[in-house]
Amino acid sequence: MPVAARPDALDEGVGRLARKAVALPHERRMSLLWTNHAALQEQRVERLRAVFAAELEAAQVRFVQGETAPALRVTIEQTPTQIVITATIPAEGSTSVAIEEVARAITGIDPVSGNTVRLEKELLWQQEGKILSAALLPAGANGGKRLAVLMEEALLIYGGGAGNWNLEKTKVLPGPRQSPRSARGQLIVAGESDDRVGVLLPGRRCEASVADESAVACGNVTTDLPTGRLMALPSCGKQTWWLKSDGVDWTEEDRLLLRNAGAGRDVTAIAELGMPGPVISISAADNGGSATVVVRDLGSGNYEVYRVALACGD
Amino acid sequence: MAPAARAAARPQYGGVLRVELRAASANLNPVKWKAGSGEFAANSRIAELLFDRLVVLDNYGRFQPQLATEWSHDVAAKRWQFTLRQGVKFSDGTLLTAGEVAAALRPLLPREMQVAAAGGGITIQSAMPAVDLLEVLALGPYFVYKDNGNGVLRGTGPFVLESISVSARDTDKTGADGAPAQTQRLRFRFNENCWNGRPYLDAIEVTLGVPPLKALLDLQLGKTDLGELSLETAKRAQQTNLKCWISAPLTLYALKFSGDGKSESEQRLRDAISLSVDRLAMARVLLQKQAEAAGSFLPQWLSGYAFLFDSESNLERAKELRKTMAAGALGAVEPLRIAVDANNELSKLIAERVVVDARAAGLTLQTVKGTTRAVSESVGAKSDGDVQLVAWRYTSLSPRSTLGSLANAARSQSAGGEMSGDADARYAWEKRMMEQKNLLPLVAVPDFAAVDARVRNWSPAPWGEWRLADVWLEQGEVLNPTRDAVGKASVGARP
Amino acid sequence: MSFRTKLFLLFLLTVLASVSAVTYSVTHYTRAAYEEMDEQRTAALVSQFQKELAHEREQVARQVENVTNADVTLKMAIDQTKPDPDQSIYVRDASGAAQEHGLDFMEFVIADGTLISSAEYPARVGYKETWVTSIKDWNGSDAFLRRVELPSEVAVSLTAVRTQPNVAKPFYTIGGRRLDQNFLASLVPPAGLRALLYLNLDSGFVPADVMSSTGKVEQAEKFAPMIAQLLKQPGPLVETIQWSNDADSAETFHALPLTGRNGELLGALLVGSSRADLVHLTRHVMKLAAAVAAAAMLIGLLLTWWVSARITKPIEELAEGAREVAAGHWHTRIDLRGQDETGQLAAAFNHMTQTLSTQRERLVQTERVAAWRELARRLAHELRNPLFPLQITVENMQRARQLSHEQFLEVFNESTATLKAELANLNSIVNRFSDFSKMPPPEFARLEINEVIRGAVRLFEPQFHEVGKPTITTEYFLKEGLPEIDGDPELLHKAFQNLVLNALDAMPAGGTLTFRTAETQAGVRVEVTDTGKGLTPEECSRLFTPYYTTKQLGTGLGLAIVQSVVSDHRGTISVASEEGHGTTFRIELPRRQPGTTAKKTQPAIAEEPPTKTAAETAAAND
Repeated sequence: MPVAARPDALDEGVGRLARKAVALPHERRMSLLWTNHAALQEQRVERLRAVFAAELEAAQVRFVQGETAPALRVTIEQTPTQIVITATIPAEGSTSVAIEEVARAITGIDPVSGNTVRLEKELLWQQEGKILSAALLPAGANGGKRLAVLMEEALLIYGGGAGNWNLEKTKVLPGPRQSPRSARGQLIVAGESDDRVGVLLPGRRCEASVADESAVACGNVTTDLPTGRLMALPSCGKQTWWLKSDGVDWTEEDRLLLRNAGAGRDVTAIAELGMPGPVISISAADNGGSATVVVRDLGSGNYEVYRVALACGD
Repeated sequence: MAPAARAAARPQYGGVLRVELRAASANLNPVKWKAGSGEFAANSRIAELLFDRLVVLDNYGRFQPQLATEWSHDVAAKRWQFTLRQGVKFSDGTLLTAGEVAAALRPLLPREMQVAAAGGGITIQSAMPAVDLLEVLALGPYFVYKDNGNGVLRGTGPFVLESISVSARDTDKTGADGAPAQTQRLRFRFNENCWNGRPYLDAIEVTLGVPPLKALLDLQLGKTDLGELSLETAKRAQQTNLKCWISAPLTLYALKFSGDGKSESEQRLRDAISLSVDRLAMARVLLQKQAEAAGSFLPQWLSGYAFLFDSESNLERAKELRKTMAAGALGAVEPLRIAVDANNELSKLIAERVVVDARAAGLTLQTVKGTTRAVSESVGAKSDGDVQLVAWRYTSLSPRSTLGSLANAARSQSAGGEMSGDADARYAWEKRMMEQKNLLPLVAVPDFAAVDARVRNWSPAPWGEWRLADVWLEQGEVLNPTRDAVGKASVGARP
Repeated sequence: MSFRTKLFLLFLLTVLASVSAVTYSVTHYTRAAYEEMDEQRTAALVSQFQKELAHEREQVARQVENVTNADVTLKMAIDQTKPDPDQSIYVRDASGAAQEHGLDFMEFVIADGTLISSAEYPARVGYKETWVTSIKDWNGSDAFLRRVELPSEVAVSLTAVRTQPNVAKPFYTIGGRRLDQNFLASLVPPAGLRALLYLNLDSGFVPADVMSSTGKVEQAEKFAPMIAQLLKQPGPLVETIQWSNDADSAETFHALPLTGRNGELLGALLVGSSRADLVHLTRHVMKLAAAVAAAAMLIGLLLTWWVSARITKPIEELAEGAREVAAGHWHTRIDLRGQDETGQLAAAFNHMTQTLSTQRERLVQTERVAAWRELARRLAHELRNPLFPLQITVENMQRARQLSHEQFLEVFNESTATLKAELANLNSIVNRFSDFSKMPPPEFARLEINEVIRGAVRLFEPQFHEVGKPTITTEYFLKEGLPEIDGDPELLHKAFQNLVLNALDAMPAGGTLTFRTAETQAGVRVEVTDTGKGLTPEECSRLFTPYYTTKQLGTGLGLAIVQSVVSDHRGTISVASEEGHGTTFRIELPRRQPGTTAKKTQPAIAEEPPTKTAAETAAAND
């Protein structure tokens, strides 16, 4: 018998907690430290914080920034059945605690556990020529998505969107050519709405602008090429994950594996996605929850570019 | 290679799932299970196949109807009414009645709760407000079953016990872990009458008494599909291509003192030991981040407020306390004996770490062979040492109920009165119990298991339920284990 | 000691001295030769051990180098140079490396000394091993001995440490093999030699820390003093241990101390060499010497016999004669003829005895007369006392004849009463003398002197505490477990009663009466001490003379009776006294009387008191 969700149940819980906090001995000036370990969305957490702060300010508590004021800590935790909100309130050298619980079932939030994170792939591009790296770029000034494809001798920029990619620019890479057998490279996308793309080549780092016709500029650096991509998606909670390939031989089908970030190299993958051949590179895509993956399809021999995205929930 | 294997996304019917469990024997009668005991896990994992509960909890904190389709309670949460699903049949074909449900639950529920059949449902009347009754019912022994009087328990679950066979244990080297020389094999066949529909699997074969190392080898050799592992073997499994599962920390390891702790010197010793033990290092370094430091009785995943308890060590303070101890006091020169189960490597390791940590504070401790009993079983039993390293298995989703059982086991009667459902009160209660230090939590260790790649749709609950009824097996060619070796060797050679 | 014996002993000593000298030099040179050989064998075994140890050192160092150079270790070391490295993932790696390379101990330590992996003691992971970081580069260093702590014990390890050469931050590999009895198995000691290993694992010596290649060593506690010395000062040591009372169980141990890097004692190799062969050889020499000495002694005996027959027999006869005289046989004569010195000596002896005998007879006569005189004087004195009133009374009666009949009758009655009383007094005096003359010869039986004393004193108890009289306190220092003696219970009882009476008289104002008994070489000693007025030396010397008394009343027979009883028991009595400080009577009685058979008597004295009460006895004797 599923319980009807009451979206404001959490707000009420936070309100009750605030009233409990006021009733406990407390300082008049405090800083408010807010930690969320539950699968709540950021806006939701902000709203709860506002509810809490308003309730305390009504009781003559002033919240200040900085470390000089004693910290009132509110922590939101999640148990199998409850959202547990804890407030530790400092007062004259000691700390008192107030706890409030709200059943998860009635909060109406859609919490996501690690088991429900999925990887989804979408084929963006395929060609016979060897692709070293590719990146799906955020929408440019004209609004459409762009795809940057790094080949041995040039960086190609396509526009127009999936299924309808048109070559917009070709930027030749300066300097010595790499030998075809060992050619390597990686595209680095600095941030959203930036028109600049970084190109990491063995021993060199180049910069290219995708908005104009300027030449690619290179400098000597020794940076290792990244082997995976750190991903996060607000709708999947506050966690971050590493997307890496299983790293099989170039003659076999590879898998993409998603692991919790910061948990060591040997943790179990919480999601996996089979690819039709060896993974050549993993680069950024249009948002933090997706990646652009280059694969050599063993069936056709073509190089394929996929957008791989995190997905949460049922 | 079978490209089709990867492409398959639609569940397939059929196949036999081979499961290896560590427990040497299983008792399917929930009345016989002891709260907090290690066997509870294996028993309830097997019982899950045969029996159903009134409700279960999903991963989103929602109670899902099983045998009960609706439930409600009065304002005081003392009287609960459950409407039962219509047309549910036992595996022998007979219809499930409210009377049978009440009869099954009656010996399992706490004494203050009365259960009665009423029309198409049951009512549970509690003397105290039972806000957490659903949490209580969703885990633990609260299965519905029928005893035909011949000792055979009938359930409504997805599987039926087909046969039990006993065979001499394989003679290959599996490590001396005290496992019996015989292995029991239970075979479960799908239940056609299941109200929830036929499970995907044709059968499940459960082999009991398999040491973790053997389970790992069997998994690697494709001799089994699902194996229960230990902390040590799980670490190794993760380095292979096996899909590993780690639960929430489900087993609490704690020191249980034999004395009553009333004297000041005894209390001082307990304080000193508690302060000397570096639980974080124990969890992060010694147990290789697989365990959680336990500064409280309830783990963070169950209470949500465990972080409020300080689990940090304070060696300086411990040394100061040590200085105030009398020269003749236990733990000063005369070693304090920690009884440890010699067969349990993990217990031994934890106890040895306690000894090492305590020594840094100038305390003299010594491990002696004993038996690691669950806390519940050691109540009133004569201890082999001055302190025992005990293991407590969390077997309830209700923090209140868990804390109550633990308090009972730790003899902390003086924690004061009946605990209300309120989190504040529960926190205060646990804090008082902690201060008595009859039971000193150290670390909480999760369950470990690994599955073969052809096992699909396996999503066990973090609190230990395996939910094997939803699993299906990829029927294609079994993945060739040599693939793992190739995969490992080529790491780092990629662009 | 007789001349014959002296002669015999002199001869014997000469023989023994020469035999001993020969025996000593033979055994001495044998032993020296044996010990030299033994030392050579021990040195060979010690050098064998050292070679094995050196070989093992090399092996351990090589294996640890192998572990250090292994890719897995290098990777671990490189991982540690990265910022914020994860140290938890290697906890178990050491165990695998140890197994793979056949080492018992294996640990990995990072630059700051933190132990990140341990095969032997995983529980210590995370703790610091500061001793390793004291040296930055261990490469090329030798393996050394080290104490290794294990969860439930301590072991000694042959340890090597290597530093990872190819990484920025030091990374240490510590590996080792356990030094235990298995190591001894590689040694092959020659017959009669054995090698034991002592490991300094506990604080202080524990017998179980001594082991042989097969395991436990019996009676290992006998090594305790040797180990104690080693612990005090580690250095080579030689000591002999006696395993049983049998001399051939002795074993000489050469200890070779095994020390750690800082010179601390970690153990010792004990090479034991059995002394059984040497002991057997020495025994053989000794047996031979004993046989020679026995033969010499037999010859000596015969020789002495012959010599004594010629020289010592006359002297012995003379000595026998002297003893006879001493025993009171005054008429002893020695029948020795000849004109040599012994013949002259015999003639002089015979003359002497004759003169002595004459003198003594004269003395006895004089004493007897004196005694009779004393007796007569005493009797006269005793009898005069009642006779005088008798005479007066009779004269009174004669004078009363002139009085009237009634008056006479009155006088007559009074007088007859007086006469009767005085006559009774006379009668009593006569009886007492008669009693003394009738002292019977003692009848001996086995008795306990303490019992007799207690029995005798018990009769006086009422008197000691009689109301209106001064209190007499009695103290007993009676030694328990005195040997039984032969004595006449009746007579001894009487003697002690008299001593008590005497003491009572000496303490008219009360005092303490002390009884002591003690065992002497010949028998027992009894001391009766009072705290009375004491005696002058003159009184002491006359004390035991019959009829001598210092008292106003009494016959003076009491102490004479005591002396008579004591001398009948072949004992002695003496008195020690100081005027004003009391008197002590000391009686020594021999244990056995000649011609008596052991017959335990009932302590008749205590249970059947004599017919007379103590008071009556006192009256009779005084």
